[in-house]
Amino acid sequence: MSRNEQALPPSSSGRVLAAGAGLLALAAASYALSFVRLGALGLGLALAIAVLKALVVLWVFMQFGRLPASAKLAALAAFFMLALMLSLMAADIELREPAPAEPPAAAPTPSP
Amino acid sequence: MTIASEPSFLPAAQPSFASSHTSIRSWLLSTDHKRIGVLYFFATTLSLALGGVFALLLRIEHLTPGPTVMSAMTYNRLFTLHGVTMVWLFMIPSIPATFGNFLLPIQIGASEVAFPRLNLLSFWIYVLGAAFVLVAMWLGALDTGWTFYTPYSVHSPSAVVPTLIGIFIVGWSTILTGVNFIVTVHTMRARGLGWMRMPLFTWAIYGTSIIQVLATPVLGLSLLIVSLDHAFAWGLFDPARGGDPVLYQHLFWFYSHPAVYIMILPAMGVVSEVISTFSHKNPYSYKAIVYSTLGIAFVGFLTWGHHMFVAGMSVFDAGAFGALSMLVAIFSAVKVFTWVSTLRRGSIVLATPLWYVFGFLILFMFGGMTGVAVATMSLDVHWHDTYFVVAHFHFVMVGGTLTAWLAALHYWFPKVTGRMYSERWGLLGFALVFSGFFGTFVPQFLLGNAGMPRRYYEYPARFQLLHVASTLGSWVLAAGMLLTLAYLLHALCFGRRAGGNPWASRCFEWRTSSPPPEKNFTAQPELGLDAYDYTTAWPAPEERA
Amino acid sequence: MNGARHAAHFESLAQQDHATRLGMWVFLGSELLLFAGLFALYAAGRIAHPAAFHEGVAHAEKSIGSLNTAVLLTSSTTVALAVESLRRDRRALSIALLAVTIALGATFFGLKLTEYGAHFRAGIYPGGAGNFFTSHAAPGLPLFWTLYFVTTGLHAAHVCVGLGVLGLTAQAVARGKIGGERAYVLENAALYWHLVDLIWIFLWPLYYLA
Repeated sequence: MSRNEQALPPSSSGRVLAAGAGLLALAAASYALSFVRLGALGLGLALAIAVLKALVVLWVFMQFGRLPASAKLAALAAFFMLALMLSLMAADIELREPAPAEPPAAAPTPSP
Repeated sequence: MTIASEPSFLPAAQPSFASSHTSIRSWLLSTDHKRIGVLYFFATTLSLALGGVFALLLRIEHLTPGPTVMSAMTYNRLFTLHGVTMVWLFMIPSIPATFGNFLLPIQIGASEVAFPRLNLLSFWIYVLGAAFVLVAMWLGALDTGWTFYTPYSVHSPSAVVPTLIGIFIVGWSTILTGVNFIVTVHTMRARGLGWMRMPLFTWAIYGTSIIQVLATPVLGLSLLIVSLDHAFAWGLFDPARGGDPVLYQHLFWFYSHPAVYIMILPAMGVVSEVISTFSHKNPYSYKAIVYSTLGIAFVGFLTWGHHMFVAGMSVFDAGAFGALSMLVAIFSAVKVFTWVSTLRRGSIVLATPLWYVFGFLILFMFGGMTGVAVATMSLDVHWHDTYFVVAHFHFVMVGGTLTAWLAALHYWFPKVTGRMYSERWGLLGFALVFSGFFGTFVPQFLLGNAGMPRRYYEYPARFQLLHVASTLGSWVLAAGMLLTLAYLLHALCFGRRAGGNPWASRCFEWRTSSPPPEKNFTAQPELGLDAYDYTTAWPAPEERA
Repeated sequence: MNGARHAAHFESLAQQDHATRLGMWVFLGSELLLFAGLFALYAAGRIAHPAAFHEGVAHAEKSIGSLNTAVLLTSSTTVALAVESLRRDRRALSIALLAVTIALGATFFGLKLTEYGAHFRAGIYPGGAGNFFTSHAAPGLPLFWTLYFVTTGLHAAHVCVGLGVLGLTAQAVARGKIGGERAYVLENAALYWHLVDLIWIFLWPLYYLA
């Protein structure tokens, strides 16, 4: 039987269970917060909690820290592209100038 | 510096990968990356022929300002099909899935890719997607242009959905191939072969695969949404329901701009190989080529909005994309300077692959510079949606990628088939292809600059002369391609036998027999000597590890 | 336990482990980018129609969505525990945990279908169809709801694929083909499930909470 030097060693089940409990707690907190009238802050806070949950899943469940460098790079590249897409598309909508009230004056047509 | 002669340690003739099993089933269900590469070659070349026929028909239509041989509706469908067939069924897989599949494991001293069965599956997924596209053609095709802009693509009463499903499926083939190649390069390199000793073609395929994996899913989603909108009127891009058609363009070009680098990076990899081999010289700077490859792969993702300058984007985005688009040219220029410096003081052997590379250098430079021109927003306002843009992208895609594909075809023909083609016919073919290309597309720059819009069925009479010139050029180009097909087929059957290393190259694929055996190498591949070291003598057989 | 021989074209089990693990992460990267456009469309839509999107969230089935969140988070925990069990050669426990994971995943899917039914009864259909939109005419509302259906629909499709993958993997564990030195096969299957969870972690606040 060949040895697999790449194999990830077991981590403690207690750690996994604690992470699971933490995720449910964060979800409960987010759920509770959703009933509070927070206006624009509400979405930001909910997303921030989501980021925390995602980090727990990535770090504890998916064991991101123990991955070979190549796999980490792959994940980071994908995340970078997601951020790039979101930011420039959102920037387009956010920063679009309002349509002018009147159409621009017609340019003289060039003679054929 | 002496020109290296063919190494004497090549094994005696082995059963080649092509003769070890000969049933049709053994070819169609093979997990051998070399056979899969050959399968892809046949499929993609058929697509090239189909797309080429569409182009020729379009050019015939443009011989006269008014209707010539087809209706306006047919014209619209033909230019759409030309784009769709060429981009997804030919250009994207043309070098990576064919030459990449064949050569990548050999160039890293491996016997296979990381996931051979996934490789086979990827091929059949490509075929399934292509079949959908063909069925869509049979159902009357579509007339939206290969870019499928909303809102028209959502409303066009044509075979939009089957075409998009076909492309969606082909996209998965691209993604899975990309995953396979990335993992292969990371994990299957021969012992002692570090990253900075890999052949440059391998680096090019690696960079291409990264783009394929990251960009193609975005296309998949865009096409999925348009299909849903078309089939079920869900209106995600419908302003009346809160949507924004410009957002479709963002999603589409987020993929399609990096896609053009999927098309050019492998071509650049071919150029690097051919230049080194035919000047018998190591690249002027290996690192420059490697870093510019990665640079192009990365920066290519930052520039998509330059296709949307006049679409109604915010000025902020337009400015950002315009500035970012200038960066890519830097990396391409680094490559061109490195290649030319490699040629300088080399022991140059003029052969067909090198002629095509000379053609590439001229046409790609010209095409690339016009790319910088159209990336300048103030100029693009004038040129957008004219033949200027059409000429620009055909210069880089045909003058660049197709030319490099032809170079690759001739360069690796002896390796894959074990036979040599005739140099005389090769040179004639090159002359026809190069001059035909020039004749087809230079008039189109002039047409576009004078105001001839693209995708227009009719045009003012004053443009006719240039259109006729372009069409005549297309006939010369077609003749060159057909001639190439003819003499290569002849060489396949009757060409003289090539040895393991007819070009006296130092690159790794030339250290095994032509064609290679099933497991690529019969013994441990001799990779101690660098792939571009033309100064050290070949190690004597006894000295090998 | 066994099957510790590696596939013929690999040199060693370690190489096969590295290759399949990297392959899985690269594939997950591509899956993330498949969903990316939907998040981008949401962001753009929210910026263009902030009030309508807020109104859309107000009409979401928050209880079902939140219950589904708890279900999916728990299933991620159980599948992670299944991986840990297999690494320790506790095969029966691993299979049991996988069964729980699959049951939770199926629950998620069932709740999702129930939720869609609730939307349809409220007159909310994709494309702004349904009489909900005649009484709620904010221009961005159809966009919100159609994005919701497409995004959660695509996610639900991934849940189904994930259930299939986990089922096949559980079978392989039961037959002793995975385990010990080859536990990475289950790890990779679990990675897919975690991605499904990750996507939902962000869907939930965007479409249900705020």
